[in-house]
Amino acid sequence: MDHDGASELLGVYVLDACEEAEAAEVRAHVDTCDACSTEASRLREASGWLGASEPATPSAELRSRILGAAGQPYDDIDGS
Amino acid sequence: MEPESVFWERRLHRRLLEGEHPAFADLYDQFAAVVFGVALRVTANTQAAEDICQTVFLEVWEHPERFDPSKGAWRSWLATLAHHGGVDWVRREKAARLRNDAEAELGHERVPDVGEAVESVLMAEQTRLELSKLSDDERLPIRIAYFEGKTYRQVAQDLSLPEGTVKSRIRSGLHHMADALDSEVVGQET
Repeated sequence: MDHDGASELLGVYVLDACEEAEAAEVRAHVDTCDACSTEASRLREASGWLGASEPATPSAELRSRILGAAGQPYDDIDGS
Repeated sequence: MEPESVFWERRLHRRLLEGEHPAFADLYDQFAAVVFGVALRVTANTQAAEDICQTVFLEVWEHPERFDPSKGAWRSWLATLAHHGGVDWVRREKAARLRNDAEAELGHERVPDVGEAVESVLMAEQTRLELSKLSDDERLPIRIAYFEGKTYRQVAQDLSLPEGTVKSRIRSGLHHMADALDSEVVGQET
């Protein structure tokens, strides 16, 4: 994929909105192109903030499960 | 120390690199609502969202070196990981056709969240505000692609637009969001 083709896909690429094969081609170009790498990082940071617009608190059980799976000392898991 | 200040973010990263368990609990408590929220919004499935949440946090616990604090914020990076997980799940399960039913169920689950961190609420309002400032032409394809986990080709079909138009509107909309967040959210953190 050439530079123009990859750069016009950068927005949809960072939103995970390309087909997998196409995303792989964009990724290969971004890895070798400073301009596209910089732009992709900037757009990815913006897209990441989209996630902040819809927070939802998971259950306390999930917290215990995840902290436990990471080997958290038992006394600390329910501490907060 | 102010959560999500640049200093806080980097210190948290250092603590995770050193394998400090309390740092992992801090990371979880600060960002679980964002990670779970993205996964739940994209998958519309509580079990899938919990599994994605676990995968994302344990990946960070096992590989904190994959985060680069010079390139962005924890919140954004974790949301990106959660989004990847959500999109993978949606496409794997071909769940798009079931979304209407699932969203009805989701409406009951996502009640207002009194236990949520104040920072998360403020950040959500800020991001919603930035999204609302975009024109409909840019906001709609971004929302459909991001929150429904669709490809740009599917978005183009949904909106009866040429694929090239969807690509360029999403790219320009994200640039506008990046500009706004540079000047407002990030400015508050530094």
